[in-house]
Amino acid sequence: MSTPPQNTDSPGYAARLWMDAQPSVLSFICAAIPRFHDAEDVLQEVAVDVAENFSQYDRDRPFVAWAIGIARFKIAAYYRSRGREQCLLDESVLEHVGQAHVTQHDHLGEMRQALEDCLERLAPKARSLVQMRYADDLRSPELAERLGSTSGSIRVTLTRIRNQLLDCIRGKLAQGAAS
Amino acid sequence: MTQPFDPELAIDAYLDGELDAEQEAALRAWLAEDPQRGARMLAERSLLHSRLARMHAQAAPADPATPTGRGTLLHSAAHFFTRRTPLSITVAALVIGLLITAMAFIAAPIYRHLAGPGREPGKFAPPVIVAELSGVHEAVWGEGQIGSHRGAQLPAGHSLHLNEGIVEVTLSSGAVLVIEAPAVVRIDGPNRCSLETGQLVARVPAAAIGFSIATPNCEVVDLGTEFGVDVTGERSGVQVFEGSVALVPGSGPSAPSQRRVLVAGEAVLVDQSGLVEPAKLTDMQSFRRHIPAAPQWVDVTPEFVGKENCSRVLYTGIGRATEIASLHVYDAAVGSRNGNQYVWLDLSASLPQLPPERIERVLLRWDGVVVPQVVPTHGSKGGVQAELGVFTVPDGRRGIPTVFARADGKNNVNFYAAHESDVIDAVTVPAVSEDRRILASWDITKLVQHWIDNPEAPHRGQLVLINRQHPVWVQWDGTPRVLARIRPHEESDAKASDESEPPRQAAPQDDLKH
Repeated sequence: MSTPPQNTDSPGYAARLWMDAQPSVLSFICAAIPRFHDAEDVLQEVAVDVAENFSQYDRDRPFVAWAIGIARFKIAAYYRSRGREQCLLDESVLEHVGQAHVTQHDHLGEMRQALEDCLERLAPKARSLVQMRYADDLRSPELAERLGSTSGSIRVTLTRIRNQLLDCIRGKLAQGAAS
Repeated sequence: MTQPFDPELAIDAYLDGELDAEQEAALRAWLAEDPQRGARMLAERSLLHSRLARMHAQAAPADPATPTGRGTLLHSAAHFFTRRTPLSITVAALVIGLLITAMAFIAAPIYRHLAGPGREPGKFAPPVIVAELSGVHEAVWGEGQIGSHRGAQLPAGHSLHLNEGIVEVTLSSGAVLVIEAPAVVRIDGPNRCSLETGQLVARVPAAAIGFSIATPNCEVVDLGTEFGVDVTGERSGVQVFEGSVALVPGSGPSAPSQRRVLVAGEAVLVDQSGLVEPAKLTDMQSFRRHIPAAPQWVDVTPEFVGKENCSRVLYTGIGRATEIASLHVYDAAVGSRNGNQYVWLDLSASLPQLPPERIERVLLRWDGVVVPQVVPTHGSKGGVQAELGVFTVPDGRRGIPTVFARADGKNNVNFYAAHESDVIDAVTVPAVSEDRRILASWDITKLVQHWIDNPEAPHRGQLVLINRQHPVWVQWDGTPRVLARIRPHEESDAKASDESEPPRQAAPQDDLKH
């Protein structure tokens, strides 16, 4: 499908850039604010800022890097508003995490596709646990209670499933790069 | 904790918000050791975590509980894993299965517990599933209960410790037990159980004749019937509602002479010695013969007036809903998922005759591609009601944008639009009232116009108005149809001791015929 010529001043252009960057920005925010709903709120604030300040975006820079820069301000503001609570990541780590997101953003599309494929390939049981964790938004103590296990075991199992997904994604990316 | 530090585990715990202070310190130290390495791992896992959260958060609302069985939407992947679907039974079983398999080596005691008594530790044999927990109503389980959610598959030997509520167990023979808390019941086999304490009612179809319940001092063998058994202290009571049962007292001195057949309307008490005494029905426990009815879908489908005028359809629908089910809509929004259109309604301001907690969902189903347009108007109740307008996507458009709305806890309501799971635009509007349910003004038309003006931008997704307390929604898909999911009145649930017939758990299809 041919891409129509893009008017870089149209709001559609901004929207498309944001659409493309948003998963990485959300991931970056999640890394700094490990409460998904709060992270989503901050993401919305970033979206508003991005929309309002789009004219200041330097078109020569990667958009995702610019948006992550805005997210860093919003994250700082988030923690300021929460008083004593501090971000686990200090400035330098956050900087690296931002850069890592910009780097991995190049492969975001493939990663997302790979994730969907890899989820399909999970054993139904593992996928169910992922569903319970994310769709039902259950944490390990609740999962443990529901499944008669311990939080520790649930966490270990979830980490194994995530490792399995990441291995699968990496495999698919390597395959894609080789072909 | 002497366990070696596992950065992957720690990062996952951190992302899940479950890091304890000790792990936190260890993670900080690990990150400081080599920030670049740490950042890479964190970025990778955070992306996975946030994608999974997003994908599933998207999937979660599409949980219409298959009201008709013919909506294509209802076969969506999102629907696949929701707990109200029949498939959830499989999923629940799979989850338990997963736990058995995955944790056999980490947590062998779990398996042993699940498999029930009598199995040797460490001997791995698949449990024999003999029953399903087919209904759960406000259940509070005793500690260590496994698989105690609806759809759970129960192995032979499994004991249910029910502290509160009422549950239904369907044995593989077809016998159905309605167990009322507090009760301890062990499922001994496909057609046999033991009531240690508490009360239950058994409904036994012809195929399961011979079903038996053991109590500490008698055994009741079904001869094709419905009967109740209660165990209080050292006494067992048996009451037959329909058909007949054979009563076999236990090993007490009076037992052998006390064997008898009880018929419908009869009730007896059996004491520790095996002595059987006739009982007045008034002396008996009042048995619950049915689990309280599940929420029902009530059809409030409006007249079909054409897809150019969805707002009229919706309004007619809301009017009908108001008439039939006293639904009062304060906020609403429209959108789509997977090509199906949704309208979200906030019914939190419903009148007392239908309190919001009794409404689970409102479902409007519709055929045709529409783009949402939501215009607020002032409601007669002093708040603001949303007026829903819908316009058709011009030919060549690729579906519907997504617009989310969320109260942010600061008296603002944020709307953000998305394609599939990705936010692509956002606006924030102030709310006037402290309860954040009533919006001063909000207009997502601009966002929608945005896609209309930019045909190359993807147009697919959903629009959601979330009221976290009472998320109620309407959805378009296929034949236009409005369904309100209403919880039945608790008081309409009859106890068996009442003369009235308990409410049948209505099949949704029946409700659609109104």
